[in-house]
Parts: sequence; structure tokens; C-alpha cells
Amino acid sequence: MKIRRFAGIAVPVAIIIVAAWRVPQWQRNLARDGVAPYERFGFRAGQEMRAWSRLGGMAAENWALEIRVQELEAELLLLHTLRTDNAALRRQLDCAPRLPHHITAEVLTLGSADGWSQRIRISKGRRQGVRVNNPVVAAEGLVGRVVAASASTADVLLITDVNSRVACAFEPDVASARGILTGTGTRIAGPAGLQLLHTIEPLRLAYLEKELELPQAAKVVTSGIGGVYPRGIPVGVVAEVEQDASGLYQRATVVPFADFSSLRYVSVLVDASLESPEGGQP
Amino acid sequence: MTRAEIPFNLLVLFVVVTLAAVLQDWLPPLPWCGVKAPFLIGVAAYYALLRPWPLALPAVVWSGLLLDGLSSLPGGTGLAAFLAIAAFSAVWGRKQLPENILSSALVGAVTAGLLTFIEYVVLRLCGDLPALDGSFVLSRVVISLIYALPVCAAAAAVAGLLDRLALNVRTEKNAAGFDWSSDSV
Repeated sequence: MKIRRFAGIAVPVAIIIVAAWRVPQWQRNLARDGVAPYERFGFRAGQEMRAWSRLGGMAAENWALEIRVQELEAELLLLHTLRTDNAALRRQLDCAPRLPHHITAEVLTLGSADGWSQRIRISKGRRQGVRVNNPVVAAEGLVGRVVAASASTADVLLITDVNSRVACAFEPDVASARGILTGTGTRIAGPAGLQLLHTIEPLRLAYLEKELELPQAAKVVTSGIGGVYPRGIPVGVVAEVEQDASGLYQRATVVPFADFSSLRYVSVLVDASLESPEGGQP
Repeated sequence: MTRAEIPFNLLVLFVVVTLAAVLQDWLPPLPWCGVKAPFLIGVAAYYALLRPWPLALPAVVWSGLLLDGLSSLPGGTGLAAFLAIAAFSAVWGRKQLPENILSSALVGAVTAGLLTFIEYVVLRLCGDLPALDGSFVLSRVVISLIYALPVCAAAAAVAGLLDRLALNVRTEKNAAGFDWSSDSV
């Protein structure tokens, strides 16, 4: 009887202590690196199946891709010239070269295991040079930033997450207008629309000057302020502008360029100046 | 469970927990509410309700540690929830609930619903989530609960199948379903 009474108190107390225990980073890294090989296998199996299902249209797709590769090769040559010129000018002006390179990674998972935050896990980690706060982009535009990196994987907080903040500007430069882009929790599987009973909005660009007049479908890019995202990465397009509830600012609704429901490969922009020695936040 | 049966029981435990973790992490969330398939809860409920304690405890603890490691929550809510399932099974579940997959699925579903709510509270307390509409949180809890029923049943069915194939449990079916006692044939 005494043992039962003791257990009746000890067990709930133990459960509360465990719940309040802060999960150490090594436990997260161990779990993520542990399941990553199986997820990588699943990713490749999915790619194989996708390829088999498109077998009929492969010849036409291959032809289109060959043309695209030619175009990109030509552009690369031009960029190589510009890069050399840029480096030479920086040397003359005594500026430190700041040319980030990119690491291409496979998207292993969509969404965190608890389902609350808008994250993806990618197949490259600290071993490959990925660090916390590295920006992550897709072919269409900005995807997010690395918030945690284990040896062979990294977690990317998407710009659609409610905790994401990106300093943005407009292109072409609209009177040096700036704003802060926040996520609204848009789900990452399937097109945006109704999320249960709630209408899901795309991204929200807040703190725009009250008098600012934005042209139709203004292009939103990163402003470079804050030091995490380099300037000029395409983010999305303005869909709607309205007055802020406070009446002091305007806010805009932004539709992202990147399609978060069909991300398969992303590029991590690696820059030595942004490296963090920590494994990152959970 | 005899000493000779331990390796096969541990092998099945390893395969089942790893598979559940990979599936839960890898499968995309439900398109309309972002709820993930709670395979690890299903495995924890299966072991806590239907398998002997020397196997159930490592399975519950390992599943909880994996869930916490894979999720983005700051605290050990997964491990705490799975320990709560184990405590519930020890006090009430194993005596009152019939030993079958449906019981395991029911316990898993209720745990999934409760865990969703607890996660929301933890995220709010940590400031990682803005205040959400009550109806949204409630609907998410209900959807987690409903979604967990087939997922936990599937997890328990696969774990049970592997245990039967490995001869960790009796293969004869009686009126109450399979005999989940630790005796092998």
C-alpha cells in the first residue's frame, strides 16, 4: 500500500520533471543523424519512382533540359567574367572579398516531427560546411535559413513560419522602402487556402511607410539589413497593400516565389563570416 | 520471456521503433492542418499495453527520446507523454482494456490528442508560438486524435506481425484475438 502511494506521487512528479527537461543538442543531433540515412534512401526511392512514372515524357523533358543547360552555361560564363571584375575592383578598393558559395542539398523531410513549425530538413550538415544562419534558396527564390545543424543534416526554418523575420526591400528600388517580412504559418503541403476554419494568408510585409505607393506586383527582395540574408535574393511579389491596424504603417501581403509544397533540392549559401560554432537552436 | 527470446524481441523492437521514427519524420504533414502521422505514439502504446515490461520500458523510453530529438520543442514532452502511457498501462490499462490492437490504437489516439494540446501550451509558454484561436487549437487536437486512430492501429498491427513472425508471441488466435503473452511457441 505504501509503495502504491509512493508510486502515485513519484510517477507524476517524474513525468513533469521529464517534460520540463530541456532536450540537449546532442540528443537532437543523434536522432537526426540516426534517421537521416533511411530518409535519404526514401528520398532517392521517391525520385526513382517519379522518374519511372514520367518515362513517357522523358525524351521531351531531356530536350528542354539540354536547351536550359546551354542557356545557363552561357550565363555562367558571363557571371564568371563579372566575378573576376568584382574581385579585381574589391582588391583595388581594399574591400575584403565576400563571395558566398552554395551547397546543394536534398530536402529529406517537410515539417518538424511535432508538426507545429514550418521547417524542412536537408541532407547536408556541419560536415559539409553548413552552419547556423546560412540562407537557403530554391531556384525560384528565398526558402529560409538554417536554425540547427547536425553532422549530416540541417534544419531550415522556412520564411512561412511565424517565427521567421526577413528584412526586405523592393526591386526596382522603390524610394528605398524597407519592411519586415513575417510568416503566417502557411502550411507547406499543398497550395495555400483554407486551413481548417482559418483563412491562411501568404507572407506579411509589415512596417512599410504610410505614404509609400507601391506599383502593382512589386517584386520583394532581401534588403541585406541584419546580416543574415545577402541583399537581392528574390522573395515574392506583393499581392495587396493595406493600412496597419495602428494606422502608423502600411502592410503588404506577399506571395512567395518558392513553391514550398514541392521542394526537392535547395541551395545553402555558405559564407565564412556567418559561421556559428554552436549546433543551433532546437 | 526466456533468455533465448531476448535477441529476437530486441531486434523487432529496434526495427519497429526505427521504422516508426523514420515514417513520422519523413511523411509530410496532413495538407489541411499540418498534423504529422504519430507512428511513435502507436509503437509506444503497443509496447506499453501488449508486451512484457522488460521490453515495454526500453521501447517507451527510446521512442520518447527519438520523438523529442526529432521535434523542435524545447522540453521532453514526448518522453513524458510516453512515460504517462506506461504509467496508465501499469495502473489501469493492462487490467481493464482487452489485449488487442484496438486498445492500443485507442490509447495512442487519446495520447496524440493530449500531446498536441500540451505541445501548444509548451510552445506558448516558451514564446515560440503566437496565441492561436481556441477553435483552431481544438480542431487540431481533434484531428490529431482522429488521425492517430488508424496510424496507431497500423503501427501496432505491423509490430504485432513482426513479433508473430519472429515467434515472440503465440501465433494461435483465440476468441479474444492473439495471445500477447511473452511465452513463445
